[in-house]
Amino acid sequence: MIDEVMFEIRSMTGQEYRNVYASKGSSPSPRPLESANQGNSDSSQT
Amino acid sequence: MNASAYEGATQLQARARKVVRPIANKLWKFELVGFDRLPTSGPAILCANHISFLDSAFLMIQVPRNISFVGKSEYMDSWKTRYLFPALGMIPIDRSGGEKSQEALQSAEGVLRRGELFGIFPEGTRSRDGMLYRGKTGAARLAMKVNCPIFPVGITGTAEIQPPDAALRSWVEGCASRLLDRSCPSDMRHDTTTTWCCAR
Repeated sequence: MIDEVMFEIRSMTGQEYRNVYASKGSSPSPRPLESANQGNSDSSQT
Repeated sequence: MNASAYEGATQLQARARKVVRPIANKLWKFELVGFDRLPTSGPAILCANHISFLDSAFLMIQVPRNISFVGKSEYMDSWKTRYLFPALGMIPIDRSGGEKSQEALQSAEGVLRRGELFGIFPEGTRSRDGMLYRGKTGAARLAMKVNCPIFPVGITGTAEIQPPDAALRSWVEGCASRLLDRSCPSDMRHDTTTTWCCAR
């Protein structure tokens, strides 16, 4: 569901979507992820 | 830090909104789309993109009801923000994840169970390069648990007013917040193929 939320935000803002988690610093996490429509399993929400 | 000790927005936020909103509306041009769809009562989660420090402040100013946000726990390290931000509705979250971030979500659950609004930035941090990053699942899990709607919120323009890690630099730029119809998590529990349920 959260992926759908992100895609809706993308459609509203026109931002380019990157299917990786943002990092706290200036550059994004290099962690590649599979399809955005697959289920999430991370337990943290920041 | 025990985030569950934080109860979210207080009357101070409502009072601050009354004072700050007209000032902000003089300083910046706000284009609000879809905010009339926000429920006037009951719990709801606003999920927004995060491009500037001003995102939570502007949302707090423009929504008609009190709203609590999670904010990074580093704000609790500064005397300038330690008392003010929680009083205005910030629930500090330890971004190292795991149980520490769960404490903040427990506080957020309390906010929702009281029938209030809760705002969260699913990306977890401000986007430094303007791109939209993958969202973390806390908001969705919270919505399922409390059985409340999620409203995606698209914010534009705030990064031009105050880019991440930069001082406030422009007082005249406009910004826009677009709020989409709600997602209904309760209707999705038994239909994983239909991942979006809108009350259009």
